[in-house]
Order: sequence, then structure tokens, then C-alpha cells
Amino acid sequence: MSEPGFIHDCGFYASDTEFRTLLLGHLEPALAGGAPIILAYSDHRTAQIRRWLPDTAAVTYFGGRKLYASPARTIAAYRRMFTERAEATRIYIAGDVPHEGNGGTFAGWDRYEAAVNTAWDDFPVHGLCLYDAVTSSARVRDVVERTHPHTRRPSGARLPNPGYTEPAAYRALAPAPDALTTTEPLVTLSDPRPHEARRVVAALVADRLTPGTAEDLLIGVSEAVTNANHHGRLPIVLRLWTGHDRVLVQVSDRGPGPSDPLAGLVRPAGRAGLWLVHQLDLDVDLFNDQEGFTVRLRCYT
Amino acid sequence: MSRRVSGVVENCRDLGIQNHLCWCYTEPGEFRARAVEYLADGVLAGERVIYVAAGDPEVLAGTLRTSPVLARALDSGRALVSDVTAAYSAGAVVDPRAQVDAYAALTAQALDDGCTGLRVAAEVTSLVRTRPQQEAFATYEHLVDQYMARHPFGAMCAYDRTVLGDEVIAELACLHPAASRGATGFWLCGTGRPGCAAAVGGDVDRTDPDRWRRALARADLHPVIGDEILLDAADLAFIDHHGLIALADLAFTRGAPVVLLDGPRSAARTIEILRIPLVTVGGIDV
Repeated sequence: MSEPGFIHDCGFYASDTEFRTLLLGHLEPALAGGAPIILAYSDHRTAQIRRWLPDTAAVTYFGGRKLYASPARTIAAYRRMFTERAEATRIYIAGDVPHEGNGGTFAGWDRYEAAVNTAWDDFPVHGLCLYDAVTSSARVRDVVERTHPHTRRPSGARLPNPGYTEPAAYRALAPAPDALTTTEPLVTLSDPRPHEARRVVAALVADRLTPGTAEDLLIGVSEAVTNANHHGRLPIVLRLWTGHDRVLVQVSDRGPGPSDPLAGLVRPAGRAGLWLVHQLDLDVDLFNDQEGFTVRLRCYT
Repeated sequence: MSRRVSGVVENCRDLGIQNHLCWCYTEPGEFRARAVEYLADGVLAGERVIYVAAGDPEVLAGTLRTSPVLARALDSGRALVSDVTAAYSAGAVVDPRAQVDAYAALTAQALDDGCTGLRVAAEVTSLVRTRPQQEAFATYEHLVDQYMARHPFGAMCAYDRTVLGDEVIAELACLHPAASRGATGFWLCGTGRPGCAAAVGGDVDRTDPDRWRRALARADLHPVIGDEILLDAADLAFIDHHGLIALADLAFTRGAPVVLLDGPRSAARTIEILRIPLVTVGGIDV
């Protein structure tokens, strides 16, 4: 039986030595055969890895975690890089997925870890997601083991994860609530049409956001309201809050939301609106509660 | 060339020549009052004016005589009336090109007679009651707008909302650069901007994606110069990805890329992210 397109392994390290052992074990076939390698870590970690690996053009480094801007954009960026390396029989990647233990927020990235199992399956890629066993919470570790078919051990063993969940069945973590939503919104619109929503939001954010950020927010608001009108259930409510460092817009309807738990992360053949929203320079969260489905868009001043 | 008024208009006053207004009404008396205002402005600007509506010419003239300016113009021949039902039998379908040619001839005549142009207020509900009538008239509206954008001719096209309904009104209104409130969210119309095949304005979004595609088809857009279809998009507030994909389909069909001149940055951003082919935003620093 031939290897699947995308192989998705995880690993947990408790020391730099274990990290090095796991990473080099993963990259060993690539280094031996000259296969392309893509590594995305913090600047500090990248400098460390550079000392361990030979200086070769086959390795592409992304320092400063800039490759991990948002889950959907990261998926798309990797896809572009895979396409550029189409001649390779296998591409090896490793990166530091954001979570609370490394200064990030894991909610959202859990959907990423689930989605890539199918999103990249048309490429011959072997990925290893290494998590710090000390700083990763039990919740993060549980999700990691449910979204990766195999775990690599520092011993060299590669063991199946019995709790692995197929992406289509994965239930995403609820995003952390934003404290702004406990305050009175600056504006509330009932059953807005897309152009009404754009007009109101544009007027309210014009002096708070840079033009580029404001345009991204308007595109996001427009798509969210359009989707609510076409796929959701009335009533639709748009709420906008402003904080000292951010603007938050929530578009809610009474429907169940997209049936695909990974909606927006992978570009579909047809309706691209939700994927477009996820590619913007915004924090995008989708969640369901007793009231229905909500798209949350946040951008920073 | 005068600047054409575009977007939502709240009344029919102070519209110079070359403007093309879609006025939707629910009260006939309100329409007549607007038409009188509109035509009286034309007479004061030295134009020949024609009032086109259904009814006995004497009755139509009586409407104009409520304005002293128009009463004098009727007496001098500067104002004319025309019974639309006399020219078109019930259910008749206009010949778009012939209709434009007729107004072009009347415009030329007005200029020959020393007028500064021709202005028409036309109540044309009876010409768009059936689907075939609407199709032909929509084509006519776009053709006449193209003519209007480049010649001293202006028109106010009035439609009875209680007879036609919002959908039919919107289908026709989007082919005018200016319309009364609530008639349409976008417009695709003629333009005097050199090199441009048409002007697009307002908001193009999924509220009415089929209407946008039908408007593009009716406009029959082709390159004016060069090998690109240039659209004057200075008044385009927003176009969503559905609207841009419709433009990409048009470009593919025509074999010519589409350029939204001075279009919104958000359109450039959407094109960039979705990698929509054959459509660009030009004239801005994107």
C-alpha cells in the first residue's frame, strides 16, 4: 500500500534535546535524499535549528512565526509552497502551532490541525507538529492527539493515536469569549442587508482603523451578512463594539451554521465567501450557541 | 461635457442635460408634479422639452400648463406632448435601436432649431408590462443611456411601482445612472469618459447577483480602445466576490480583460485573495 498524500504526525518534547531528536528524526529521510524542507518556528528556535542542519537550499525557514498568521491563511500559504515544489516526491514540514503555552491562542488552531488532514491530502507532504510537553495544557494535548493520526516519540517510535478523529467529525473548541461583548455594543442592526451593514460599519470605524484594515473588515462584514441572509435564519443581528485596541463585529443568525466543521479553512470549489473572510487580515471565529450561529470578526487599531 | 448625476436622487430639480433619471412613483399626481419641475428646468436652460405619457394630448398639455414656464413653452413650440399609447399599441415591444435613432433625430432637430438640447419626461409603464416588453425596453434603456452620455439629450423615465413591482423596477432602474430612492442598489450605464465601455456605480453584492449578470449581458460590453474592457468605476462603492466573478466570466466570454477604473480598493483586495482572473482595479495605488 502506498503512503497517503499527507502524513500528519505530532510529538511532545520535554527538553531541547528531545526537540532536536524528534525534529532530526523526522527530517532524516529528507536530508538524506535532498527533499524540500519547510520549517516555521520562532526566531530563537530557528537560529537553533540552523546550527543543527546543513546549509542547503532545500531548507526554507520562516522565522518569527510569521507563517502562522491565521489558520486559513497558513493552510493557503503552505498549499502555495507545496505547489511551488510540485516536482518533489515528498516535502517535509515542521512548525510551531500557536497555543497558550507559546504565547498564542489555541482555539481556532485546533480546527487547523483537524483540517490539514484533508486540506493537504493532494500533496505528498510529511508534517510533524511538535508541542512543548511542559507548556502545553492537557486540553491542547488532548486535541493534538485527536487531530494527528500518529505520535512520534523521542525513542523513534511512531505510534497510532487511538483517539484520532476524522476531520469531518471533529468538533472545534469554542473560542474564548471577548470581554468587550459583556459591554453595550456601539451599534446593533436587526436583519441588515449587506449594503446597510457596510455603510454603518464603515462610518463607525473610519477614524479607528487604517484604510487597509477597514477595507478588510468591510469585506468580512459584507460576506458574513450575505451568508446570514442566504444560508441562515432570521432574525439576523449585527453588533459592533470598539475597545481601546480593537474593533469587534459579530453577525449572528438563528440557523445552525455551516454543516462542515472545517468551513472557511479550505477553499471550496463553489461558494468561496467564508474562505475569503478567513483570508483577510482579521481574527475570525465561528461558533454556535443556544441562540444560533455567529461569525466574530476582530481587528486591531 | 457636464458631470452626470449618479446614485440616489431625492427630486428631479437641477438636473442638467445628459442626465438620465429613473423615477419610480406610487402616486400619479406626484409623478406629474416631478415631471413638470423637471421639464420647466429644461425650458429655462434653453432646451426643447417633450412630455410623454398615456392620455389625451389636451390633458397632457393641461398638466404642463400648471407651470407658467411650460405654458409659454407650449405656446412657442418649445414644449411638446406625446401620447405614448398613440405611438405604441397595448403590448407592443419597442425596437431599441429605432427608438434611440428617433430621439437622436429629435435632439438634432432641437439643436437645429436653436435649442441647447432635448429633454424628455416619459411615463413608460405601459411599455414594460410584459416580459418581452421589459427585455426590449431594458436594452433600449442601456442604448439610449449610451447616447445620452455623449449628446445633449436628457430624460426622466417614470415607472409606476404599484403596477410593476419592485423587481421589474430594479431591473430597469439599474440601467440608469440616477434613480429615486429604493429603486436599485447599483447602476450600469453609459459614460462620456474616454475609452470606457460603461460606468458602474453603487453596491454590487449578492442581494441581486442575477440582476447584475443580466445588466452586464444587456450592456453588451466590448473594448472601446485597446483590448481591455474599461469600466468607469469611480462611483462604485463596493463589489463583492460574486460580482467580480461575473465580471471574470464576462471577460472570458468576450476574450478581453475587464478593468475597473478608479474602483474600490476592497475590490482589488478580493481579486488578490481569490485570484480572480481577467479582472483588475486600475487607476488607484493598490
